[in-house]
Amino acid sequence: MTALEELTLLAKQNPNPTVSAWKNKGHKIVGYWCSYIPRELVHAAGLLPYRIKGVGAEGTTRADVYMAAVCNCTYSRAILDMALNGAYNFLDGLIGMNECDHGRRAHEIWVKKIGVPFDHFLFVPHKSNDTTLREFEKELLKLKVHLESRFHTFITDENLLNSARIYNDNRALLKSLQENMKEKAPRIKGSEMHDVVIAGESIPPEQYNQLLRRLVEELENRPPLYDYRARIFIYGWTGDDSSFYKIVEDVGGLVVADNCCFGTREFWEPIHLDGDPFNSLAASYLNRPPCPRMIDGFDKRFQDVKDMITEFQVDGLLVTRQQFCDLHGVEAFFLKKREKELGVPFSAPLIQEYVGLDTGRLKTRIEAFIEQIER
Amino acid sequence: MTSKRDIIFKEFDFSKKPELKTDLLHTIQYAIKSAISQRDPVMQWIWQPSINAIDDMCAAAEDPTDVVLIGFNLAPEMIYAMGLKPVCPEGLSFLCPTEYLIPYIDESHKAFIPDHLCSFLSGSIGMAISNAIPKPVAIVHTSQPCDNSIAQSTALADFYGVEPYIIDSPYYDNDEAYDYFAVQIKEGFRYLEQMTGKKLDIDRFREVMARSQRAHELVHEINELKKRKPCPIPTGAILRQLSIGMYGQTGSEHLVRWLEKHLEDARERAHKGIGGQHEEKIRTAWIYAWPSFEWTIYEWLGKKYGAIPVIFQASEYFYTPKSSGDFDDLCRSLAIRILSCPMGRSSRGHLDYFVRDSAYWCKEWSIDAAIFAGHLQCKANWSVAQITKEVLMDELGVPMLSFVVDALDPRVTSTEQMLGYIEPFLEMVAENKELEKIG
Ligand code: SF4
Ligand code: SF4
Repeated sequence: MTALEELTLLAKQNPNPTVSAWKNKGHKIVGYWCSYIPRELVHAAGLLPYRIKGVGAEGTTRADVYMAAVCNCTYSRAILDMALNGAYNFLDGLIGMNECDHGRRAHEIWVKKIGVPFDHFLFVPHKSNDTTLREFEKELLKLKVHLESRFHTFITDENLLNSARIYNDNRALLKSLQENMKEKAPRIKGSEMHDVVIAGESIPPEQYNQLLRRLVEELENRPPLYDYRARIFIYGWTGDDSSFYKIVEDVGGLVVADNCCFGTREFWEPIHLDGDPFNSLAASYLNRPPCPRMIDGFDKRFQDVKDMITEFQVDGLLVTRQQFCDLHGVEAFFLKKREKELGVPFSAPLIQEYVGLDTGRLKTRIEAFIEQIER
Repeated sequence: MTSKRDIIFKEFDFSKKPELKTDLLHTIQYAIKSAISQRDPVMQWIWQPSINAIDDMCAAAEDPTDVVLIGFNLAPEMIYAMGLKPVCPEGLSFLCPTEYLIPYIDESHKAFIPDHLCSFLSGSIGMAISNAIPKPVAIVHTSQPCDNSIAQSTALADFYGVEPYIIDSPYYDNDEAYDYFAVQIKEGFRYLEQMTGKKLDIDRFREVMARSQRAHELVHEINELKKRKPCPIPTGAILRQLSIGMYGQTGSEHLVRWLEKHLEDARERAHKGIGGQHEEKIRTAWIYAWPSFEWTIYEWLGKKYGAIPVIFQASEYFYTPKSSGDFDDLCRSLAIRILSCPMGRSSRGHLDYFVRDSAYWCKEWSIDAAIFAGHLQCKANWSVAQITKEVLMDELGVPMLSFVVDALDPRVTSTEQMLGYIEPFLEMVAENKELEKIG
């Protein structure tokens, strides 16, 4: 199998085969909900951080007893459903946080209804300044102490530095892959890149580095992609499923950049290792490319998007979100005000359902958008 | 329309679109005052918080150089302490007559505000983008109670081009959380000083906090009286007025005066052993939100079933500690006060807060029936409804009804539809009570 094939497969398996391999070695696995939860800390405790995903969900029936189909997103309901059905029983622990109203509640219901051997809730501030950084450091310290006492380990500065370096290597390799998309004829598609990112969220980062290095090499031998109608930027929420990217590609778009959670936001900035590793970790996470959950994040996000539009020669932005997501929901309001400044057209918000995606409707709308902007 | 029920419910006609770029504040003021003038003069004092709220906002609009927009989960003490004028946009959604509000909600959707944003907040954004709210000199908000609030405050700030100060709310309710919030209150004062050029007057802050403290003490006393059977409040409408006062006017003299009157009235009723207009048979708690577009429904439920609203959880306050005079203590006391505001407290943090608060109010106030009229866009609370229902039944034997409603928009669930849910439920509760009596 090529590295790309391996990574694509890993993205689609939940749990993936690294779980049993890890468990067979006698190691423990801790699930985490959101990319604002520093995986480095979990890894430095000798644990495998496993990003909670909805991959493999078959519906939301059991979750719908506790969450509301009228207003809670299908992503959080799908994950809760899987948990209630026992799909996450392999976890030795779970770290939740206040990422959004849906996610935090799904976590709490999960813990309340079926329990987990180790449960930690990390409060992550919604803005970044000296006060919130101090608070976040305190919160991370609580997590560290809790992990240490529950898993009988010590998270030393050295371990933490080591973990940060390993994950920084992940980020650097992903960034180099993404940068290939600046080419007029890139050698990797957006949907493939998305799968590569998803895979890395739930496998040992050392193994991920090896796969990514192989993929970088493979890329040179892949045929360049000339045949596309428009270079697309995806702005918003696409989750851990590449269907949206595939729809874009099916109608002739080439996704070359994004500002998504399982996307460039995940790897664009490394952990800046200067001074105390604990402080570096806290500061880097609070200042990472901001998700819409961050109150003060839009200006930075908009600047990042504008920079990428130029660097990746983007023709248009597809704005998308999960149904019922308020945090992503208000982004189009901000964009509308900055239409001229953005420099390229953007679509009206395309609403997705994680379970029961309306592929036909999205295809029609995306195709219409591409017709407007094609080269 | 006269329903089969021998009562007149409002008929809404949304086909005529009112002018959006109107003098909305004075339109609301006129509507409120004329509605109240039609009430029994002896009872008119009950609606005074609505009059105070809209009068204050109209006065603020006269000279917008001092206007500060605030979130309704922040409360206005900080702004009063600075000698500035608070305007709470979502308070306006609450006060606005339904026929006027709906077009503003729709207007916000046209500007890409999602239709799943809380209608209290989308209505306020619609008003802002229609220039129906004065441009503020500053915006102070908090991230509580929910994502809707974050979305709304950032949207308002973006629209006005005013740098906001949004206090990051902690998840829990403990000393560490209060300290975190208190530090940000101090930073908030610095922000207000910078934005307005005014200086914080510590004596005024102390006076405002003393009045806020007094308001909470009065509410506490009123709540204790509400434990009596029958509940000594004149009408369920007073609970809404209490909410308007406590969310929007804490720290003001007029709120204290009104609460004193409310307490005096409740004491007198309790002393005489009387309740409100209708005989009390079923004590109800409206768990969380309550539909606001049709107040006659509460009268009707009282008349037909003796169902008296004793608790409106979203406006039930916990007692807060006393504040001493020094600046740090005042800020900390204000932090506790803000974090204890019912919607913030029960929605921003762990679901147990909501569940335990619901159980507390139902148990201590001897509630017979709980109603969760789930506000359609209330993601954080809808996902607590089932667990609350289980706990109320398992621990207290209190049944809970839940149904979807938009508290402000009758297009989602009409009054008739609501009654279609509530009436059979109350009949069942009444029957069970009868069976219990028989033994
Ligand atoms: S979109 Fe934001 S809040 Fe949601 S999971 Fe991703 S980083 Fe977390
Ligand atoms: S908690 Fe519910 S009612 Fe309150 S602002 Fe949020 S969505 Fe609206």
